[in-house]
Amino acid sequence: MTGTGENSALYETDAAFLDRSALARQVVKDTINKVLLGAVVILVLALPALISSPTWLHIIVLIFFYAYLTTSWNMVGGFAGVLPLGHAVFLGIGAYTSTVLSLQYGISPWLGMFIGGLLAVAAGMVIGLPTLKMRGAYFALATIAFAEGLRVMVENIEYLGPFKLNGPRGLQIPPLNIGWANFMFSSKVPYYYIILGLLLIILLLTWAVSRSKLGYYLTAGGEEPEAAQALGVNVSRAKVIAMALSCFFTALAGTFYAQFSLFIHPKSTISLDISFEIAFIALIGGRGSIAGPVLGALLLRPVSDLSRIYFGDILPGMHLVIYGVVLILVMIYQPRGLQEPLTRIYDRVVNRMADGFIKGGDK
Amino acid sequence: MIYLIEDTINGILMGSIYGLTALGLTIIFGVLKVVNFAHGTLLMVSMYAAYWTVTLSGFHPYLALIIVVPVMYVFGYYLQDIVIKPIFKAEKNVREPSTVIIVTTGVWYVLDNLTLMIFGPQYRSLPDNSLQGKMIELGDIFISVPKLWGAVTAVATAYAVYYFFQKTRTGRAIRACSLDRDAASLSGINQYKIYNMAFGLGTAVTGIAAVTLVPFYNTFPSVGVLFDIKGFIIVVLGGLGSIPGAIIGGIIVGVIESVGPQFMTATWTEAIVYGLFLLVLFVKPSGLFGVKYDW
Amino acid sequence: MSLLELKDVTKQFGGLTAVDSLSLSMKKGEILGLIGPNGAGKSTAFNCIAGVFPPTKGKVVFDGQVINGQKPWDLCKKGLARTFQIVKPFASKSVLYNVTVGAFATTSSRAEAEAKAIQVLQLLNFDDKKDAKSSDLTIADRKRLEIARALATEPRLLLLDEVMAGLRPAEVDEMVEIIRFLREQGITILVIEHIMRAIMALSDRIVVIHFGKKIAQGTPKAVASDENVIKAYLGDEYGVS
Repeated sequence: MTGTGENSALYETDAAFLDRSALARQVVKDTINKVLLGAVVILVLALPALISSPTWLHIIVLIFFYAYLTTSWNMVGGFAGVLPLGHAVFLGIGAYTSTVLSLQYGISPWLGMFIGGLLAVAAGMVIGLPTLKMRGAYFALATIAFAEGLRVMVENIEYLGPFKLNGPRGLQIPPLNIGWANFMFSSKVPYYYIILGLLLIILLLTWAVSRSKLGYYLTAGGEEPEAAQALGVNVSRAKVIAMALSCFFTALAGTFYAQFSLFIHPKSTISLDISFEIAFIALIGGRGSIAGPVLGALLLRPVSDLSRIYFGDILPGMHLVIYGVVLILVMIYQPRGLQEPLTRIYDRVVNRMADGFIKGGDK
Repeated sequence: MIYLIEDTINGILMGSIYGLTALGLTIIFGVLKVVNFAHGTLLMVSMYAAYWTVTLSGFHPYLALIIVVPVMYVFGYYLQDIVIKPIFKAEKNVREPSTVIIVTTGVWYVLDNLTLMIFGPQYRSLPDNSLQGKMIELGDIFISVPKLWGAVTAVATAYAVYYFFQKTRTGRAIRACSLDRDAASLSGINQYKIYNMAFGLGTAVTGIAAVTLVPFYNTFPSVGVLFDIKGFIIVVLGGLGSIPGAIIGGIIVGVIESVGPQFMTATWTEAIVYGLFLLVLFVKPSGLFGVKYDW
Repeated sequence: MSLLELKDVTKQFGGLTAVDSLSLSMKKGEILGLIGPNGAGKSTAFNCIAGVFPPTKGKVVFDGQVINGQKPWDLCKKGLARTFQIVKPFASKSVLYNVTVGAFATTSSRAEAEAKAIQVLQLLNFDDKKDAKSSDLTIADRKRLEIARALATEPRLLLLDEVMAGLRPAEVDEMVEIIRFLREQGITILVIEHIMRAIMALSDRIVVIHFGKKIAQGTPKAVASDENVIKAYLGDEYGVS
């Protein structure tokens, strides 16, 4: 790569030099990214060994729980571009299905989890098939109506056919049979790894979808539905598929929640508060991106927990006010979510580090 | 049988009031093409405003209109101006401003919980006043007086709003803006000012509804949630953007709620209302009187 | 055998008849121009064919099959593609992404779709811009993107809606070359256009519409000297030859 100017044979041309250093930079950046990722993975896997307090572990489990829920929500709220505001109803379907099946019929919660997922998909189809082809507001309203309607029903009936739902008193799960087969553990650590595993699965799924035909179709349908249709995209069908995936995976978390807290009742599982919290976190973090919902959960859940601990008595509901205000501000100033500026800052930091290494290497 | 008639009549009265509560929502949608998810919360705020006005002044509940209506108009005007307008501007060319839904939901959340923080969760009802609990007897039928007043107010307000939009200059300007933003602005109409006014108007109408409710309905921080969802059900039934639709949709819901418990538990009645909503959504989303929209 | 046939297609919107008993047919491999004064009903006829809405009366027949009322995405799978007068790129995405969406019409594998997309871009001499954000493109490039996207769906019939609008004369000539090149690839093309010199140069045949009715059809030369056409345009600058 030598030039032919006056300073020929011994020196590279400017362009060649820039190419080489750009390449070097990219390699260093990639290495830095990989190292950081590796460090995070190791930290996350080793966390239970580092934290002995079960309270803190509990809080972290819940953070991952919400990160899972928001990523799951993102499939429909981000990729499909619609606004599900009643998503907790699928959480409830999952929780109640596996709990009722295990309490009344002794069916393993793992199997119940899967069945709950399928039921959630069915429910999601009932709402989604008609409304996903309409204006966004109608879909949002339908999800709220469905969620509230179901909650009212569950709160007021003892039995749904042969299944005991116990109305507002809810269902308690006695911690009897411990072990993996029964999804029941005495320490919080296995729960930590389960939710971590679920989170990794949903993140991988989201990444895979974003790179697949479904992902491309959803993005296209979201940006320019008419153009997408002319290119062979059945936009409604893509949205419905996204909805089905989202409902299924959200329901799985319902079973997790039931097995983790050992008590479910309508207000704790099918509540509008939870639905909104999921949506808000995903929106603030940045819907449509893969990191956004997780970032949102990592940032906002601690805020909510802390404000509940410190302000809970004097100012009840403060954390919700904070959510609401942050949401409004983010929507006005950073509609793509906080992941955008955060990603930029991260890039800048990595660039600086890369420059630092290269300069050091040159010496 | 007598009870059925009584229930039906009270249902119609209560339903008209429901319609009045939904009227603000339909006005805002009709003009801004925006579904205001903060609607219920604005009703709740209005109810607190009405409650405190009456409690502190000792006036007749309906005199509170003098204060509540202008206050809510201003509140709505500036809510639109400060919080929603920036989103409108950012999403000018988007077919469906979905971020507005998100923001109004945020407003709902903030106001509901702020109210909870400031006023506490207790249910409040007006101390004894000239309307509360009074009944008129027509033979064997008892008709609730506050509901009667409310129903009359509802119809009067609906008519006044209708007249405003059809006959007055400002009203027509607002309608022009809703049909085609750019064309309207070219004829010298400041579209953002129009939106502010429309939002203010919708909120003021909600204020009127609150005044009619406060004499007989409890005021508490989450009262908005119930009316929010009911409001949506009503406007979908009657057709988003239709003024007679709001009143008639309200009456339908009111009658179901009133007559329903005769035949089934109150819970199932509520479930039926939700079910009816979903049914209308699936079968005829433009509602009974709604304008056909491009989906 | 005609690839596309319109048999007495009529489209009414309430009391307004936008298209009135329009009949035409296209042979495989030909370029048909559809012209007429503003408001003549060209876009409406176009949309009837493209599946945006079904005709009120009459039949649209594509490759022997009646396609009235079929949806645009199904029509695309059958080999009917279209572009939009007001270009609609997926603005936040790259050129390659845009074209890949089109390529997915024939495959479910991302690797294949992307490879096909790059092929299409190379065909149109556009691959140097493949990573550019589509909202950063010039109008001429955006029009090329529209065509590239549609091309990636492997259409047999391509409907072009005023694809030259807003282009400078040099760019118009470029576009004419591209369209001719597409025909050489075996694609049948229906062109709606206002820019006379382009459509006269391109079309094998031209159909003229006025007030929703066909008032003339034939070779460009024949149509240009047709009395009815000249009257409709009130002084068409192309003149009588």
